[in-house]
Amino acid sequence: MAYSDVLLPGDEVPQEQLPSNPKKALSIGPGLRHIPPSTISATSVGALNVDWRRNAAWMDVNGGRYLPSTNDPIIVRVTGSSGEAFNCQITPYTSYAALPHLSFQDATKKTRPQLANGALVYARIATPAAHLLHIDPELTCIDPSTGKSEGLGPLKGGMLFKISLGMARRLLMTSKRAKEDAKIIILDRLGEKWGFEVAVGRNGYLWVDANDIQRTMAVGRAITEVDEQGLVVQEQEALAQKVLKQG
Amino acid sequence: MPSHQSAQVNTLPHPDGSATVSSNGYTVLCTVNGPLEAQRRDEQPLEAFIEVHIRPANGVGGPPERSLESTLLSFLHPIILTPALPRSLIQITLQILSVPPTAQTLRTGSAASVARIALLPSLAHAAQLALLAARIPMRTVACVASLAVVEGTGEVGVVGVGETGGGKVEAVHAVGYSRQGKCLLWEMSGRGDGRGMKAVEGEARRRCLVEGGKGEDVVMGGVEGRREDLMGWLEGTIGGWLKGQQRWKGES
Repeated sequence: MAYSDVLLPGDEVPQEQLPSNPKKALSIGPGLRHIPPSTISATSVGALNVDWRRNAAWMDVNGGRYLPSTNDPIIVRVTGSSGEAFNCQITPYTSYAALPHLSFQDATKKTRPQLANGALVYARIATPAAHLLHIDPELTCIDPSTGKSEGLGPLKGGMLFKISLGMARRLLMTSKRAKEDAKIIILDRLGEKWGFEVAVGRNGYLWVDANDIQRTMAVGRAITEVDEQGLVVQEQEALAQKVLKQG
Repeated sequence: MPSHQSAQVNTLPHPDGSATVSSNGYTVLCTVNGPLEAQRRDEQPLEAFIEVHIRPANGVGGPPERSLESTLLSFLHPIILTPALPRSLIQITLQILSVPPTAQTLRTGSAASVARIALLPSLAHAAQLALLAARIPMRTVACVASLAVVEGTGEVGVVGVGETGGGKVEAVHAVGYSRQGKCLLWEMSGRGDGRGMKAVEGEARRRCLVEGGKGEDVVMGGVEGRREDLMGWLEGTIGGWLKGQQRWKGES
Protein backbone atom coordinates (compact mmCIF):
# COMPACT_ATOMS: atom_id res chain seq x y z
CA MET A 1 0.00 0.00 0.00
CA ALA A 2 1.64 3.20 -1.13
CA TYR A 3 1.31 6.06 1.28
CA SER A 4 -0.48 8.30 -1.19
CA ASP A 5 -3.50 5.93 -1.08
CA VAL A 6 -4.11 6.58 2.59
CA LEU A 7 -5.79 9.71 3.85
CA LEU A 8 -5.54 11.16 7.33
CA PRO A 9 -8.09 13.50 8.94
CA GLY A 10 -7.88 16.95 7.40
CA ASP A 11 -6.36 15.78 4.12
CA GLU A 12 -8.16 17.11 1.09
CA VAL A 13 -9.19 14.59 -1.53
CA PRO A 14 -7.72 15.73 -4.86
CA GLN A 15 -10.47 16.69 -7.32
CA GLU A 16 -9.11 14.33 -10.00
CA GLN A 17 -9.49 11.30 -7.68
CA LEU A 18 -13.20 11.93 -7.21
CA PRO A 19 -15.76 10.61 -9.69
CA SER A 20 -17.29 13.37 -11.77
CA ASN A 21 -20.55 12.22 -13.30
CA PRO A 22 -22.28 15.37 -14.54
CA LYS A 23 -25.75 13.80 -14.31
CA LYS A 24 -25.64 12.70 -10.68
CA ALA A 25 -24.83 14.47 -7.45
CA LEU A 26 -21.66 13.19 -5.80
CA SER A 27 -22.49 11.04 -2.77
CA ILE A 28 -19.92 10.79 -0.02
CA GLY A 29 -19.86 7.99 2.51
CA PRO A 30 -18.16 7.32 5.84
CA GLY A 31 -14.85 9.02 6.58
CA LEU A 32 -15.38 12.00 4.28
CA ARG A 33 -17.01 15.39 4.69
CA HIS A 34 -17.91 18.23 2.42
CA ILE A 35 -16.65 21.71 3.21
CA PRO A 36 -18.54 24.21 1.04
CA PRO A 37 -18.10 25.19 -1.69
CA SER A 38 -16.19 22.27 -3.20
CA THR A 39 -13.68 20.73 -0.81
CA ILE A 40 -13.96 17.07 0.15
CA SER A 41 -11.76 16.24 3.11
CA ALA A 42 -11.14 13.14 5.19
CA THR A 43 -12.33 12.81 8.80
CA SER A 44 -10.78 9.41 9.50
CA VAL A 45 -7.84 7.29 8.36
CA GLY A 46 -8.03 4.85 5.50
CA ALA A 47 -7.90 4.32 1.78
CA LEU A 48 -10.21 6.18 -0.56
CA ASN A 49 -12.75 4.12 -2.51
CA VAL A 50 -14.66 5.43 -5.50
CA ASP A 51 -17.49 4.08 -7.63
CA TRP A 52 -17.57 5.99 -10.91
CA ARG A 53 -20.87 4.47 -12.01
CA ARG A 54 -22.76 5.46 -8.87
CA ASN A 55 -20.77 8.70 -8.54
CA ALA A 56 -19.84 7.84 -4.96
CA ALA A 57 -16.75 8.12 -2.77
CA TRP A 58 -16.15 6.69 0.67
CA MET A 59 -13.38 5.45 2.95
CA ASP A 60 -12.58 1.93 4.05
CA VAL A 61 -13.51 2.08 7.69
CA ASN A 62 -13.33 -0.78 10.14
CA GLY A 63 -13.65 -0.52 13.87
CA GLY A 64 -15.19 1.96 16.23
CA ARG A 65 -18.74 1.96 17.45
CA TYR A 66 -21.74 1.10 15.32
CA LEU A 67 -23.86 4.09 14.31
CA PRO A 68 -27.46 3.18 13.39
CA SER A 69 -28.54 3.76 9.83
CA THR A 70 -31.84 2.90 8.12
CA ASN A 71 -32.45 -0.69 6.98
CA ASP A 72 -29.38 -2.18 8.65
CA PRO A 73 -30.02 -5.68 10.03
CA ILE A 74 -28.83 -5.77 13.63
CA ILE A 75 -28.90 -8.10 16.62
CA VAL A 76 -30.29 -6.40 19.71
CA ARG A 77 -30.77 -7.39 23.31
CA VAL A 78 -34.11 -6.74 25.00
CA THR A 79 -33.60 -4.87 28.26
CA GLY A 80 -37.22 -4.18 29.21
CA SER A 81 -40.68 -3.49 27.95
CA SER A 82 -42.83 -0.40 28.14
CA GLY A 83 -46.51 0.10 27.22
CA GLU A 84 -46.26 -0.82 23.59
CA ALA A 85 -42.62 -1.46 22.74
CA PHE A 86 -39.60 -3.43 23.90
CA ASN A 87 -36.57 -1.40 24.92
CA CYS A 88 -33.57 -2.78 23.09
CA GLN A 89 -29.87 -2.14 23.25
CA ILE A 90 -27.99 -1.79 19.97
CA THR A 91 -24.55 -1.04 21.47
CA PRO A 92 -23.61 -0.77 25.16
CA TYR A 93 -24.08 2.58 26.92
CA THR A 94 -26.14 4.20 24.19
CA SER A 95 -29.78 5.18 24.40
CA TYR A 96 -32.42 2.48 23.91
CA ALA A 97 -34.03 1.62 20.62
CA ALA A 98 -37.77 0.94 20.60
CA LEU A 99 -39.09 -2.29 19.06
CA PRO A 100 -42.91 -2.01 18.98
CA HIS A 101 -44.76 -5.10 20.23
CA LEU A 102 -46.76 -5.21 17.01
CA SER A 103 -43.83 -5.02 14.61
CA PHE A 104 -43.42 -8.82 14.44
CA GLN A 105 -44.96 -10.95 11.71
CA ASP A 106 -48.64 -11.76 12.43
CA ALA A 107 -48.45 -10.11 15.82
CA THR A 108 -51.65 -8.87 17.40
CA LYS A 109 -52.20 -7.55 20.89
CA LYS A 110 -52.91 -11.14 21.99
CA THR A 111 -50.33 -13.05 20.00
CA ARG A 112 -47.35 -10.70 20.33
CA PRO A 113 -44.10 -12.44 21.34
CA GLN A 114 -43.32 -12.43 25.05
CA LEU A 115 -39.64 -11.54 25.29
CA ALA A 116 -37.84 -11.73 28.62
CA ASN A 117 -34.99 -9.38 29.56
CA GLY A 118 -31.82 -10.48 27.80
CA ALA A 119 -33.63 -12.07 24.85
CA LEU A 120 -31.98 -11.56 21.47
CA VAL A 121 -33.85 -10.23 18.46
CA TYR A 122 -32.75 -9.99 14.85
CA ALA A 123 -34.27 -6.71 13.70
CA ARG A 124 -33.96 -4.00 11.10
CA ILE A 125 -33.62 -0.29 11.79
CA ALA A 126 -36.82 1.46 10.72
CA THR A 127 -35.81 4.99 11.67
CA PRO A 128 -32.36 5.92 13.04
CA ALA A 129 -31.98 8.40 15.87
CA ALA A 130 -32.89 11.99 15.05
CA HIS A 131 -30.68 13.81 17.50
CA LEU A 132 -32.12 17.27 17.18
CA LEU A 133 -35.65 15.98 17.79
CA HIS A 134 -34.56 13.82 20.74
CA ILE A 135 -35.87 10.70 19.01
CA ASP A 136 -34.29 7.33 19.73
CA PRO A 137 -33.97 4.75 16.94
CA GLU A 138 -36.95 2.55 16.12
CA LEU A 139 -36.67 -1.08 15.04
CA THR A 140 -38.92 -3.48 13.19
CA CYS A 141 -39.02 -7.20 12.43
CA ILE A 142 -41.26 -6.86 9.36
CA ASP A 143 -40.23 -6.13 5.81
CA PRO A 144 -42.50 -3.22 4.86
CA SER A 145 -42.75 -4.33 1.21
CA THR A 146 -44.03 -7.86 1.92
CA GLY A 147 -45.39 -7.67 5.45
CA LYS A 148 -43.45 -10.87 6.21
CA SER A 149 -40.61 -11.35 8.67
CA GLU A 150 -38.02 -12.28 5.98
CA GLY A 151 -35.81 -14.00 8.53
CA LEU A 152 -36.12 -11.33 11.21
CA GLY A 153 -37.51 -12.06 14.66
CA PRO A 154 -36.55 -13.41 18.07
CA LEU A 155 -33.39 -15.55 18.10
CA LYS A 156 -33.94 -18.68 20.18
CA GLY A 157 -31.10 -20.89 21.42
CA GLY A 158 -27.68 -20.57 19.82
CA MET A 159 -24.82 -18.34 20.91
CA LEU A 160 -23.75 -14.76 20.34
CA PHE A 161 -20.23 -13.84 19.20
CA LYS A 162 -18.68 -10.42 18.82
CA ILE A 163 -17.13 -9.58 15.46
CA SER A 164 -15.67 -6.40 13.99
CA LEU A 165 -17.95 -4.04 12.07
CA GLY A 166 -15.95 -4.66 8.89
CA MET A 167 -16.40 -8.43 9.26
CA ALA A 168 -20.16 -7.97 9.74
CA ARG A 169 -20.29 -5.92 6.56
CA ARG A 170 -18.31 -8.57 4.66
CA LEU A 171 -20.53 -11.39 5.92
CA LEU A 172 -23.63 -9.50 4.77
CA MET A 173 -22.43 -9.11 1.18
CA THR A 174 -24.71 -11.51 -0.66
CA SER A 175 -24.65 -10.59 -4.35
CA LYS A 176 -22.28 -12.77 -6.37
CA ARG A 177 -19.83 -10.00 -7.22
CA ALA A 178 -19.76 -8.52 -3.74
CA LYS A 179 -19.20 -11.98 -2.30
CA GLU A 180 -16.01 -12.32 -4.31
CA ASP A 181 -14.78 -9.03 -2.87
CA ALA A 182 -15.68 -10.08 0.66
CA LYS A 183 -13.29 -13.06 0.46
CA ILE A 184 -15.12 -15.19 3.01
CA ILE A 185 -15.44 -18.87 2.22
CA ILE A 186 -15.40 -20.32 5.72
CA LEU A 187 -19.23 -20.32 6.04
CA ASP A 188 -19.69 -22.07 2.69
CA ARG A 189 -17.07 -24.71 3.50
CA LEU A 190 -18.52 -25.47 6.94
CA GLY A 191 -22.05 -25.34 5.51
CA GLU A 192 -21.24 -28.07 2.99
CA LYS A 193 -20.82 -30.60 5.79
CA TRP A 194 -22.81 -29.23 8.74
CA GLY A 195 -26.26 -27.73 9.07
CA PHE A 196 -26.41 -24.52 11.10
CA GLU A 197 -28.09 -21.13 11.18
CA VAL A 198 -26.31 -17.79 11.41
CA ALA A 199 -27.56 -14.25 11.81
CA VAL A 200 -25.21 -11.34 11.23
CA GLY A 201 -25.88 -7.96 12.86
CA ARG A 202 -24.31 -4.85 11.38
CA ASN A 203 -23.72 -3.72 14.97
CA GLY A 204 -20.89 -6.26 15.22
CA TYR A 205 -22.66 -9.38 16.44
CA LEU A 206 -22.86 -12.87 15.04
CA TRP A 207 -25.42 -15.40 16.23
CA VAL A 208 -24.87 -19.09 15.49
CA ASP A 209 -27.10 -22.08 16.16
CA ALA A 210 -26.15 -25.60 15.06
CA ASN A 211 -28.49 -27.47 17.47
CA ASP A 212 -25.36 -28.81 19.09
CA ILE A 213 -23.28 -26.72 21.47
CA GLN A 214 -19.95 -28.09 20.27
CA ARG A 215 -20.65 -27.30 16.63
CA THR A 216 -22.14 -23.91 17.50
CA MET A 217 -18.93 -23.04 19.33
CA ALA A 218 -16.76 -24.40 16.51
CA VAL A 219 -18.52 -22.31 13.85
CA GLY A 220 -18.54 -19.14 15.97
CA ARG A 221 -14.91 -19.48 16.91
CA ALA A 222 -13.84 -20.19 13.34
CA ILE A 223 -15.50 -16.98 12.15
CA THR A 224 -14.06 -14.87 14.98
CA GLU A 225 -10.64 -16.31 14.16
CA VAL A 226 -11.01 -15.34 10.49
CA ASP A 227 -11.97 -11.85 11.68
CA GLU A 228 -9.28 -11.30 14.31
CA GLN A 229 -6.37 -12.70 12.31
CA GLY A 230 -7.53 -11.41 8.92
CA LEU A 231 -7.21 -14.86 7.32
CA VAL A 232 -6.98 -14.95 3.53
CA VAL A 233 -8.95 -17.45 1.43
CA GLN A 234 -6.36 -20.26 1.50
CA GLU A 235 -5.97 -19.97 5.26
CA GLN A 236 -9.75 -20.10 5.68
CA GLU A 237 -9.77 -23.29 3.60
CA ALA A 238 -7.20 -24.87 5.93
CA LEU A 239 -9.10 -23.68 9.01
CA ALA A 240 -12.36 -25.15 7.70
CA GLN A 241 -10.64 -28.53 7.14
CA LYS A 242 -9.25 -28.44 10.67
CA VAL A 243 -12.58 -27.49 12.27
CA LEU A 244 -14.53 -30.15 10.33
CA LYS A 245 -11.98 -32.81 11.28
CA GLN A 246 -12.20 -31.99 14.97
CA GLY A 247 -15.98 -31.70 15.14
CA MET B 1 13.74 11.23 17.72
CA PRO B 2 11.43 8.44 16.55
CA SER B 3 13.87 5.92 17.99
CA HIS B 4 12.85 7.11 21.46
CA GLN B 5 9.22 6.30 20.88
CA SER B 6 6.95 3.47 20.06
CA ALA B 7 3.21 3.12 19.62
CA GLN B 8 0.63 0.42 19.17
CA VAL B 9 -2.98 0.84 18.07
CA ASN B 10 -5.93 -1.18 19.39
CA THR B 11 -4.07 -2.74 22.29
CA LEU B 12 -7.29 -3.60 24.18
CA PRO B 13 -10.17 -5.69 22.81
CA HIS B 14 -13.19 -4.10 24.51
CA PRO B 15 -13.08 -0.30 24.15
CA ASP B 16 -14.10 1.26 20.84
CA GLY B 17 -10.52 2.43 20.32
CA SER B 18 -7.26 2.18 22.26
CA ALA B 19 -3.57 2.92 21.85
CA THR B 20 -0.34 2.64 23.82
CA VAL B 21 2.42 5.19 23.30
CA SER B 22 5.87 5.43 24.85
CA SER B 23 8.01 8.53 24.59
CA ASN B 24 10.30 10.60 26.83
CA GLY B 25 10.45 7.57 29.14
CA TYR B 26 6.70 7.64 29.80
CA THR B 27 4.24 4.96 28.69
CA VAL B 28 0.59 5.91 28.34
CA LEU B 29 -2.42 3.72 27.54
CA CYS B 30 -5.44 5.51 26.14
CA THR B 31 -8.93 4.16 25.59
CA VAL B 32 -11.72 5.95 23.77
CA ASN B 33 -15.39 5.09 23.97
CA GLY B 34 -17.99 6.89 21.97
CA PRO B 35 -20.35 8.15 20.86
CA LEU B 36 -22.18 7.22 24.07
CA GLU B 37 -25.32 8.57 25.69
CA ALA B 38 -24.36 11.73 27.58
CA GLN B 39 -25.77 12.54 30.98
CA ARG B 40 -28.55 15.11 30.87
CA ARG B 41 -26.46 17.84 32.46
CA ASP B 42 -23.50 17.24 30.11
CA GLU B 43 -25.52 16.87 26.94
CA GLN B 44 -24.95 19.62 24.37
CA PRO B 45 -27.54 20.11 21.63
CA LEU B 46 -25.18 20.87 18.77
CA GLU B 47 -21.97 19.03 19.51
CA ALA B 48 -20.44 16.10 21.34
CA PHE B 49 -19.34 16.43 24.94
CA ILE B 50 -15.75 15.33 25.51
CA GLU B 51 -14.61 13.88 28.79
CA VAL B 52 -10.89 13.40 29.53
CA HIS B 53 -9.68 11.33 32.49
CA ILE B 54 -6.03 10.94 33.38
CA ARG B 55 -4.95 8.36 35.92
CA PRO B 56 -1.41 8.54 37.33
CA ALA B 57 0.99 5.58 37.38
CA ASN B 58 0.35 5.08 41.08
CA GLY B 59 -2.15 6.45 43.55
CA VAL B 60 -5.24 8.40 42.63
CA GLY B 61 -5.36 11.51 40.49
CA GLY B 62 -5.21 14.95 42.04
CA PRO B 63 -4.88 18.60 40.99
CA PRO B 64 -1.87 17.92 38.67
CA GLU B 65 -3.94 15.40 36.71
CA ARG B 66 -6.98 17.73 36.62
CA SER B 67 -4.76 20.46 35.20
CA LEU B 68 -3.32 18.12 32.56
CA GLU B 69 -6.85 17.01 31.68
CA SER B 70 -7.97 20.54 30.98
CA THR B 71 -4.87 21.24 28.87
CA LEU B 72 -5.41 18.06 26.88
CA LEU B 73 -9.11 18.79 26.46
CA SER B 74 -8.44 22.22 25.01
CA PHE B 75 -5.92 20.62 22.64
CA LEU B 76 -8.30 17.84 21.53
CA HIS B 77 -11.50 19.87 21.27
CA PRO B 78 -10.61 21.64 17.99
CA ILE B 79 -9.21 18.37 16.59
CA ILE B 80 -12.39 16.33 17.12
CA LEU B 81 -15.24 17.11 14.75
CA THR B 82 -17.72 17.51 17.60
CA PRO B 83 -20.68 18.84 15.56
CA ALA B 84 -20.80 15.49 13.73
CA LEU B 85 -21.96 13.72 16.91
CA PRO B 86 -24.47 16.00 18.66
CA ARG B 87 -25.91 15.12 22.11
CA SER B 88 -23.37 12.36 22.62
CA LEU B 89 -20.43 11.76 24.88
CA ILE B 90 -16.88 10.88 23.87
CA GLN B 91 -14.99 9.42 26.78
CA ILE B 92 -11.19 9.52 26.69
CA THR B 93 -9.35 7.75 29.49
CA LEU B 94 -5.57 7.85 29.80
CA GLN B 95 -3.70 5.60 32.19
CA ILE B 96 -0.04 6.39 32.74
CA LEU B 97 1.59 2.96 32.82
CA SER B 98 5.18 3.88 33.61
CA VAL B 99 7.24 6.97 34.32
CA PRO B 100 11.03 7.42 34.10
CA PRO B 101 12.79 6.67 37.42
CA THR B 102 13.79 10.32 37.88
CA ALA B 103 10.18 11.47 37.77
CA GLN B 104 8.93 9.12 40.49
CA THR B 105 8.99 11.67 43.28
CA LEU B 106 8.19 14.76 41.31
CA ARG B 107 4.78 15.73 42.57
CA THR B 108 5.54 19.34 43.51
CA GLY B 109 7.81 22.21 42.62
CA SER B 110 9.48 23.08 39.33
CA ALA B 111 10.49 19.46 38.67
CA ALA B 112 6.79 18.57 38.55
CA SER B 113 6.14 21.14 35.85
CA VAL B 114 9.01 19.70 33.80
CA ALA B 115 7.46 16.24 34.20
CA ARG B 116 4.11 17.65 33.11
CA ILE B 117 5.61 19.04 29.89
CA ALA B 118 7.57 15.83 29.23
CA LEU B 119 4.35 13.80 29.57
CA LEU B 120 2.25 15.86 27.17
CA PRO B 121 3.51 14.31 23.87
CA SER B 122 2.68 10.76 25.03
CA LEU B 123 -0.78 11.84 26.20
CA ALA B 124 -1.55 13.77 23.01
CA HIS B 125 -0.33 11.04 20.64
CA ALA B 126 -2.03 8.20 22.56
CA ALA B 127 -5.34 10.09 22.66
CA GLN B 128 -5.28 10.84 18.93
CA LEU B 129 -4.35 7.28 17.91
CA ALA B 130 -7.14 5.90 20.11
CA LEU B 131 -9.61 8.42 18.64
CA LEU B 132 -8.61 7.33 15.13
CA ALA B 133 -9.04 3.67 16.12
CA ALA B 134 -12.49 4.47 17.55
CA ARG B 135 -13.35 6.13 14.22
CA ILE B 136 -14.37 9.37 15.86
CA PRO B 137 -14.57 11.98 13.08
CA MET B 138 -11.65 14.40 13.30
CA ARG B 139 -10.66 17.67 11.67
CA THR B 140 -6.94 17.00 11.63
CA VAL B 141 -4.07 15.18 13.34
CA ALA B 142 -1.42 17.01 15.34
CA CYS B 143 2.01 16.20 16.77
CA VAL B 144 3.44 17.47 20.04
CA ALA B 145 7.15 17.95 20.78
CA SER B 146 8.50 18.75 24.22
CA LEU B 147 11.59 20.94 24.22
CA ALA B 148 13.97 22.38 26.79
CA VAL B 149 15.92 25.64 26.52
CA VAL B 150 19.38 25.62 28.10
CA GLU B 151 20.25 28.58 30.31
CA GLY B 152 22.92 30.91 28.91
CA THR B 153 23.43 29.30 25.50
CA GLY B 154 19.75 29.35 24.50
CA GLU B 155 20.25 25.93 22.91
CA VAL B 156 17.05 23.93 22.33
CA GLY B 157 16.85 20.15 22.95
CA VAL B 158 14.40 17.43 23.79
CA VAL B 159 13.18 17.20 27.37
CA GLY B 160 14.46 14.30 29.39
CA VAL B 161 16.52 12.58 26.70
CA GLY B 162 19.83 14.18 27.63
CA GLU B 163 20.12 16.08 24.37
CA THR B 164 20.62 19.32 26.27
CA GLY B 165 24.06 18.13 27.28
CA GLY B 166 23.46 18.40 31.02
CA GLY B 167 23.26 22.21 31.06
CA LYS B 168 20.90 24.02 33.40
CA VAL B 169 17.46 24.26 31.89
CA GLU B 170 15.90 27.69 31.66
CA ALA B 171 12.46 26.73 30.37
CA VAL B 172 10.54 23.76 29.01
CA HIS B 173 7.92 23.90 26.28
CA ALA B 174 5.39 21.46 24.79
CA VAL B 175 4.41 22.63 21.33
CA GLY B 176 1.89 20.96 19.05
CA TYR B 177 1.42 21.43 15.31
CA SER B 178 -1.39 20.11 13.15
CA ARG B 179 -0.73 18.38 9.86
CA GLN B 180 -1.61 21.60 8.11
CA GLY B 181 1.08 23.44 10.09
CA LYS B 182 -1.17 25.25 12.59
CA CYS B 183 -0.04 25.62 16.18
CA LEU B 184 -2.64 23.96 18.44
CA LEU B 185 -0.77 23.71 21.74
CA TRP B 186 1.90 25.70 23.52
CA GLU B 187 2.50 24.95 27.17
CA MET B 188 5.57 26.31 28.87
CA SER B 189 7.16 26.42 32.25
CA GLY B 190 10.13 28.54 33.35
CA ARG B 191 11.51 31.83 32.06
CA GLY B 192 11.62 32.82 28.44
CA ASP B 193 11.95 35.80 26.13
CA GLY B 194 10.85 36.46 22.57
CA ARG B 195 14.11 35.25 21.04
CA GLY B 196 13.98 31.97 22.98
CA MET B 197 10.38 31.41 21.94
CA LYS B 198 11.33 31.98 18.29
CA ALA B 199 14.05 29.33 18.53
CA VAL B 200 11.63 26.91 20.21
CA GLU B 201 9.01 27.52 17.53
CA GLY B 202 11.44 26.72 14.71
CA GLU B 203 12.78 23.62 16.43
CA ALA B 204 9.28 22.35 17.36
CA ARG B 205 8.04 22.82 13.82
CA ARG B 206 11.05 20.95 12.47
CA ARG B 207 10.56 18.08 14.89
CA CYS B 208 6.81 17.86 14.30
CA LEU B 209 6.65 18.15 10.52
CA VAL B 210 9.97 18.25 8.77
CA GLU B 211 8.34 18.17 5.35
CA GLY B 212 5.67 20.69 6.20
CA GLY B 213 2.80 18.24 6.14
CA LYS B 214 2.23 15.48 3.65
CA GLY B 215 4.92 12.99 2.76
CA GLU B 216 4.42 11.68 -0.73
CA ASP B 217 6.92 8.93 -1.46
CA VAL B 218 7.06 7.13 1.83
CA VAL B 219 6.14 3.46 1.76
CA MET B 220 3.74 2.78 4.61
CA GLY B 221 4.87 0.58 7.45
CA GLY B 222 8.16 -0.08 5.66
CA VAL B 223 11.64 1.00 6.59
CA GLU B 224 12.16 2.59 3.20
CA GLY B 225 12.30 6.37 3.17
CA ARG B 226 11.69 6.61 6.89
CA ARG B 227 11.03 10.16 7.98
CA GLU B 228 12.59 11.48 11.12
CA ASP B 229 9.81 13.86 12.16
CA LEU B 230 6.97 13.08 14.53
CA MET B 231 4.28 13.28 11.85
CA GLY B 232 6.20 10.73 9.79
CA TRP B 233 6.39 8.47 12.82
CA LEU B 234 2.66 8.86 13.47
CA GLU B 235 1.85 8.10 9.83
CA GLY B 236 4.06 5.00 9.95
CA THR B 237 2.27 3.77 13.08
CA ILE B 238 -1.13 4.30 11.49
CA GLY B 239 0.06 2.66 8.27
CA GLY B 240 1.24 -0.44 10.11
CA TRP B 241 -2.08 -0.73 11.89
CA LEU B 242 -4.13 -0.27 8.70
CA LYS B 243 -2.00 -2.86 6.93
CA GLY B 244 -2.90 -5.39 9.65
CA GLN B 245 -6.57 -4.55 9.22
CA GLN B 246 -6.41 -5.08 5.47
CA ARG B 247 -4.59 -8.40 5.70
CA TRP B 248 -7.64 -10.43 4.58
CA LYS B 249 -7.53 -8.77 1.19
CA GLY B 250 -4.31 -10.68 0.55
CA GLU B 251 -2.78 -7.88 -1.52
CA SER B 252 0.59 -7.48 0.13
